[in-house]
Amino acid sequence: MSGGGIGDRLINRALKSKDFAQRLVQQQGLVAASRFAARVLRERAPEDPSQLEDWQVEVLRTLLQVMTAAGDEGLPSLEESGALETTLTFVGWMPEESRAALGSLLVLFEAGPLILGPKRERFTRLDPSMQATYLESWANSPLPPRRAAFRALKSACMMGYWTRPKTWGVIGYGLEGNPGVPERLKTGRT
Amino acid sequence: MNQGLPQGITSAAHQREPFKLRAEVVIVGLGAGGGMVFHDLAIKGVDVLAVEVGSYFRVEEMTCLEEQMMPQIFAEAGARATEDFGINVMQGRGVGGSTLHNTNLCKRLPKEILAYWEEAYGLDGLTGRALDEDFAAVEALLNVHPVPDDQVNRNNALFARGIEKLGYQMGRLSHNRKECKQSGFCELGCPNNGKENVSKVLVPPALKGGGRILADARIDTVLTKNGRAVGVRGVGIDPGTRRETAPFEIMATRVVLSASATASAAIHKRSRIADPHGLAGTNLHLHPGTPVVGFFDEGDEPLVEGWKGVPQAVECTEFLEFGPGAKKRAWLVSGFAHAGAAAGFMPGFGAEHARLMRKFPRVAVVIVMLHDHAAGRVSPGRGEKVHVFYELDQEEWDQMAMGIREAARILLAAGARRALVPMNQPRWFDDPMEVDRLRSTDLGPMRLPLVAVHPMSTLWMGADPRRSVVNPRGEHHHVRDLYVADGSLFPTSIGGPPQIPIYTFGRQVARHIYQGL
Repeated sequence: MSGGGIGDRLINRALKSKDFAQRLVQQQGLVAASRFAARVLRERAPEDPSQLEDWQVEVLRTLLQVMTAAGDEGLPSLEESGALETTLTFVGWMPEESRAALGSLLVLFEAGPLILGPKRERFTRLDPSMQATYLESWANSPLPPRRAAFRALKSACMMGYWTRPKTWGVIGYGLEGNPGVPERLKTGRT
Repeated sequence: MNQGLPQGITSAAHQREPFKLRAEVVIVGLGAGGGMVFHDLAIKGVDVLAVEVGSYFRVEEMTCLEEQMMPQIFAEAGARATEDFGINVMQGRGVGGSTLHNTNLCKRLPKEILAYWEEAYGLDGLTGRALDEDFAAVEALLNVHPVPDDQVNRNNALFARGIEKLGYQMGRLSHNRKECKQSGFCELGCPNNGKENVSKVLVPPALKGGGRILADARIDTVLTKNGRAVGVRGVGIDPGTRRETAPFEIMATRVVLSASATASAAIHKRSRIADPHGLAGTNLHLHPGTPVVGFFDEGDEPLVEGWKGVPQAVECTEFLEFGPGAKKRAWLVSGFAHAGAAAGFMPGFGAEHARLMRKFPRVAVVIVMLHDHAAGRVSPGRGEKVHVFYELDQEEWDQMAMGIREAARILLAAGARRALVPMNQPRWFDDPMEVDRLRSTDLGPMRLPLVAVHPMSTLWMGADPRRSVVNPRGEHHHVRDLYVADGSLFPTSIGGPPQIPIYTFGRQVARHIYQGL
């Protein structure tokens, strides 16, 4: 419980300083690291980190493909589902700081294999099995920040893909066949 | 620009020039607490203006589509998270706040919590009849009643079956619904106007009483002068682009912060309101929760289709105690998610993940929610962004592990072929004997999907200004005429759904404000 004597006040001040430092390192560090990574990739870093360059969108497209297995076993492809556009729309609704963080993560993800392997090549140029291996390494990393980055990117991709009506047939989900959903919402949804 | 909005509601979205307004009372945020203050003051003829960062939504605008509703009725488009991305923090945005998207669970505050608050925080009278009468009045206003037998869907029925088999303590939950069509889309905004919430029950009579709402308007700072709150300053927001439009000021004799435990605290800090003991924005509790999934996919087992029907009707309180000495602090409740959110929880990716998603109609889900003792902090970001710092300590992970083991045990007892803990390296249990192998050391940051829907306690009540931010009437200890009326008020975690306590405390704050006018 907070509050009380001078000890608690000092602790609170220290925590606030720690929070500030963490935010500074995380936000500015993430953006700075991504700018550096963009230079290594010989790509243009966005002047406004909250806006995605075309090449970052391509990283997102590739991530979507690996994350969702779009097109496999009856699932719609990314193009058929419109998942990339939906993901970009979701990202567009986020606050500027969150968009900048996500954009920076995409850059670091693309450049990561150059240092982390499995092959010294950009993520989007790895073959699919190596892309999956690389993704696994983030998902199961002993480092919490890498697991966190994976989780953030996975969440964005899964929301972009599985909210698309064309994916629902495979999983038996939808608005049709639900007597509680008003008829006005059922026309042409799947 | 205000076409289609009810009389009394204005949108700041299309204002081009700076503007000023006046009111006797200005309310920041129209969730459960702010909504009740708005209602109770307006129907008494007080000149009250409520400001809400989100939009006003008509029932026809609830589309049941995650891709459309998540960005509109959730703060930060549903992507708000703790700074380490470890916990997704889901909060409402819009006239109605989180009552737009909650699953309508209604519970009073436990007696043990009230007794502790009375004793430790000097909140006299909490265990007396007065609060019970206020709870009863709010429950009557919102049509709170137990979920009827014929509205317990299969997801909940399986959970109940498992609890009964193990002889654990079970309860039927109560809801604030009327003419519910059981669509299951509560979390995306009810398409049938079945929620007895702020926008349905409280706003119309408040508007009729002369209350005003300014929607699509973000409050950034509270204005103070000579130790008193005198108004607020903010900016209009275009709901389509989230771009800022025109700045505004609202001068008032009373200011009520009711924008949630995250946003209210952020506004408090950004405003540099007097806080000599550095308390505002600390003490954050979240009730972090995680799903455990049972697979009912054998033979001719009927489909579960947990996304249909009333989402949460059953609870297991066997592992939930209250008060400072509580040894068990895991609340188990049925739960479900729609396709996009569920895909985020299911472990793995690629073809393996897609195989799990194909089982979506055949899974039942139990949520393990922690009555947390850990405390975090909030600080303001740019615009609507709020920075949330929160970490579970080992004791909390121990509680989470206990809850997860029991949730898995319940699902297996209910007949699940397998139970899944959706960790980054998923844990499967085929047999109840295997469940005890799960240790708290297997859990940890970013290994488990965690969601929080009940932020609270950042501007808490208490008699002692050295150990609380606002007094027992909800008025700030150091700034006259500044009140708090949301979940920030709770001195500790409450271990259950907060909407009824928030509505009720909002009523009490309104009463104190009115008495002082």
